[in-house]
Amino acid sequence: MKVSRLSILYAVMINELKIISREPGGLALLIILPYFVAGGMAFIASFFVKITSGVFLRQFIGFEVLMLSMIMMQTGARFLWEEKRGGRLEFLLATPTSMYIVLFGTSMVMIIMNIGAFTIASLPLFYAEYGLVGTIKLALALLLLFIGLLPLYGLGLLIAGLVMKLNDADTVMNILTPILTILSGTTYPIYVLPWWIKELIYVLPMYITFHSMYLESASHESITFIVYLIIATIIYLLLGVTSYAKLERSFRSRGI
Amino acid sequence: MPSLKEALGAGVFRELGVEVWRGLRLLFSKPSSIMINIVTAPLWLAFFILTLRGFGVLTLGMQILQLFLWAAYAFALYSSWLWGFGNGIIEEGYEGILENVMSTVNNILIHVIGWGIAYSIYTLLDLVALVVSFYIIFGLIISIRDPILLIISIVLASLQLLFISTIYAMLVIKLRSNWVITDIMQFLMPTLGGLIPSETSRYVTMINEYSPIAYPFILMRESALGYLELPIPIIYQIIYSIITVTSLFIITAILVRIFDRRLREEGKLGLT
Repeated sequence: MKVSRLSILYAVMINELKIISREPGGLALLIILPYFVAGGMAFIASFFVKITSGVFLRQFIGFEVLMLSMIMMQTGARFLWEEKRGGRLEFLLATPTSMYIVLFGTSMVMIIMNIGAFTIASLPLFYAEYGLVGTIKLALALLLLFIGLLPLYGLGLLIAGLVMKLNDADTVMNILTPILTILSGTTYPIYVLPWWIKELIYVLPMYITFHSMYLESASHESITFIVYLIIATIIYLLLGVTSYAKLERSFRSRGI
Repeated sequence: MPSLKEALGAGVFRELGVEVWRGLRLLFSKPSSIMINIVTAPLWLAFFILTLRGFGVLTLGMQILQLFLWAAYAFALYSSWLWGFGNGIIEEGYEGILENVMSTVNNILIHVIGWGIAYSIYTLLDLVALVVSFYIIFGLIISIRDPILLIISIVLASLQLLFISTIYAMLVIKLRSNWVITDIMQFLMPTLGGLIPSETSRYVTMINEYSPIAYPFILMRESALGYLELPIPIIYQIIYSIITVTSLFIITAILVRIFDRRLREEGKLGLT
């Protein structure tokens, strides 16, 4: 019996969804945590300057983009690492299902979850700041977030290669997370940084995602940023897929 | 010949020593993770300061930076103890390590305290990492007006967090997704537990004054910066802290006893 690729993708996504929904607390945390972090920082900053609702919304979007970006970048690497550690990667590679479908399916579920969490968390703030128009602004911002998360998955596949090579997910992530957090440029004015760090920030998709979302919410949308995001998606996904193809070839020829 | 009581006391201390040594060997068995902590601390600090800039904070005085240093250390302590120690006990329960521990020590309490003493030594590295980070980024040289009081406050804070994390672990071990609660607690507890300096607002002063777990962290800042944060003499603050730590120890001992008995007799984790 021949099963279509779409059916397989659907099955992978449903499976992943079931796995994620086993921990509803984790999903709730995705909604609450940005309030804790952005709220905590705003609380500290309020002793020095007046925090307006506009500034808080901008910082909130920044923290959201940052948090979801980190999750997105870790998704592929963590998935492969967990499968390897649990001895399931060999079985997955032995099945006729392409690993690209498995990885794409799991990442899509993660993107949907992230966007869902962002919607629930941000809706009250968008509504409070812009009224009903805010919901339309939010919908457009969500579209930009969706595009912005795709290149991060490609970046995650590049990181997966590093994790597998060094055979230690925690060490790689513990080093990369603070570096990428600073290079995200989502919660601070990047002009204060040296030019070479700024260039790195522009190369990565997080800042552009955040900035285009913020501009969208402030009704200053820029088509240049959207084009940039689409190009970044193509480049990073290509890089990620090529890197993963190389990794899988080495798995098949030399073992995991 | 030593009396039975003496022999029992010596046995307890020997077991405790073994647990401390075991904990230290385990914690220092991965020098790479220690290095990562030290190397990444300045990066996190830089991110924190840059984010304040994002909120519009342009300058920070040296006195404010000293306060930030101690607040950062307090947050690091709460976070480390809840995640590393409390969650560590939960993981030991899930992985069946506690059963093995039970076969070698008489009481889980000895294991918990021994492991906690080792962990408190390990958390001193957080302070080292923060001091180095503040120096690298701001050129800040740490000021300590009363070193003895500082040591007392760190010991009291560590003991307090040891018992709080243990009580927390016993209470949530049965819950699914307890890591979510840990994540929320790491923000809530420091807020109620003396992380925020009292001079920031009168509400914070009130929380710090009435929260029994806040005193060791207030003492930490007072000993370093040399001024009273609360209108309560230092000696009273120390006494309140000691009373809190003693009370927490008694609660921990009772809960661990219930936990221990349940695990030995029924093979189940948790208190009920």
